[in-house]
Amino acid sequence: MTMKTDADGHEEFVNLFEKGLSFTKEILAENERLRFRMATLEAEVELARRQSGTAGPAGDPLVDSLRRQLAELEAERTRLLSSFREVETLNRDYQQRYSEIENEHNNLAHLYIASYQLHSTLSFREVVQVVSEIVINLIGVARFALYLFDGKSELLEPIAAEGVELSALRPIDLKDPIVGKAARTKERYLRDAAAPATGPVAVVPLATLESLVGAIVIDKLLVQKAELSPVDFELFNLLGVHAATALSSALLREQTGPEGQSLHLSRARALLA
Amino acid sequence: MADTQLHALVVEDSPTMRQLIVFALSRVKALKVVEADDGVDALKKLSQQHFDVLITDINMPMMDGLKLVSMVRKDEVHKDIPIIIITTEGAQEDRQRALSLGANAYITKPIQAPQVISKVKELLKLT
Repeated sequence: MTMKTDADGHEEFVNLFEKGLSFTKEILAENERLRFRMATLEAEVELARRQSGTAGPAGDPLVDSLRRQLAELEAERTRLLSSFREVETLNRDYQQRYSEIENEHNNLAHLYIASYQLHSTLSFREVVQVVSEIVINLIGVARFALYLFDGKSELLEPIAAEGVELSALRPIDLKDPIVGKAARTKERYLRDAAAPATGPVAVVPLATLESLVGAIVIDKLLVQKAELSPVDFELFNLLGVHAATALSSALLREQTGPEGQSLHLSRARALLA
Repeated sequence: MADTQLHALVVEDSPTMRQLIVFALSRVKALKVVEADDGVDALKKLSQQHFDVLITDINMPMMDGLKLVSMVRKDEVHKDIPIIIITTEGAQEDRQRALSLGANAYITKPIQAPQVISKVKELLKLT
C-alpha cells in the first residue's frame, strides 16, 4: 500500500483548485465568443433592415430574399440571446462556485496545517507553542489561556497565555459555571452573541476518548475579527481532540525520560498482540 | 529560453505561519519559495541567490522584520526588492515604521491565502 505524502495532499488541493479555475476561464471565453457573435449578427440585421428599406416594392425577389434573410437573422439573434443568457447564468453560478471552492480550499489548508503542526513534534514546549500559534494566527485571537487538567487536584491549571500575564491567572475548578462546566462535560462553550460581553468568548475542552486533558479559554478576538467563522469551529473541533492527544503524548514522552526517547519494537508488538 | 521562474523569500519564525504562507504561494505557479527562520537567516539566503519578493514577519528572534527591512533597503544589491510585512491590526506603530523604512505593503493576521496571493501578484505585476 502506498501512503499519501503531505506533498501529494497538497498537490491534490492545488489540482482541484486549478481545474475550477480552468473551467471558469473556459466559460468566460465562451461568453466572450457569444458576445462577439451577437454583435456581428446585430450588425448584419441592421444592414439587412437598411437594405430592405431601400429595396423595391413587395413582390420584388430581392426584397423577398432580404426579408427572409432578415427573419432568419432575427431568429438566430433570439436564439443566441437566449444562449447568451444561459451562459451568463451558468457563468455566475460558476463564479459563485469558484469563490466557494477557493474559500473551502483556504479552510482546508488551515485545518491541514494545524493538524500537521500539532503532530510534527513530541516536545511538550513545542506542542504548547503550536497550540498557541494556531489559536493566535489561524483563529485570530488576541487574549487566551491554555489550561491543563490536574487529575489530583481536579483543577485546570494555566500553563500558557497570550495577551495576559500567566502569573495573573488562577487555577479553575471544574465546578466553575462556564470553563469548569465546558471541561467537565467536554462540550464547547460559545458566548451568545446577544449576551453581554463578559466572561470568555469561547471555551474549547481538550479531551481524548478516555480523559480530560485541559481547555483553551478564549477571552478576546483580534480587533479586525468581528466574529468566529465556520472554519474556526472546525479548528476548535480539531484542537479539542488533536491538541489533547499531542499534549498528552508529548507530556508522557517527556515524563518517561531517556527511556521514552526511542521506540521499543518489542513493547509495540506486545501492545498489538 | 528565458527563465520565467520568480523567487520569493518567506521570513517567519513560526512554523505554522510559514507553512500557511508557503501553502498560499504554492498556488502562484511562477513562484519558487525559499523559507527563512528570522532576519539573520534571511540575510544569509539573500546573499546566496536573487529574490523577486520578500515576505517577512515583524516579531522574530535574532533579527526582527524592521531591522531586516532597514538592512535590505540599505543594501546595493537588494534595495529594490518588493517587501511585504506581516503584522497584526493592533501593531500600527510597527506597520508604519516598516512602511517608512521601505516596506511596500502589509498583510494583517490572521492571514488568508487569497490576501497573500493578491499582494504578491500585485507587487510582481503578475496577472
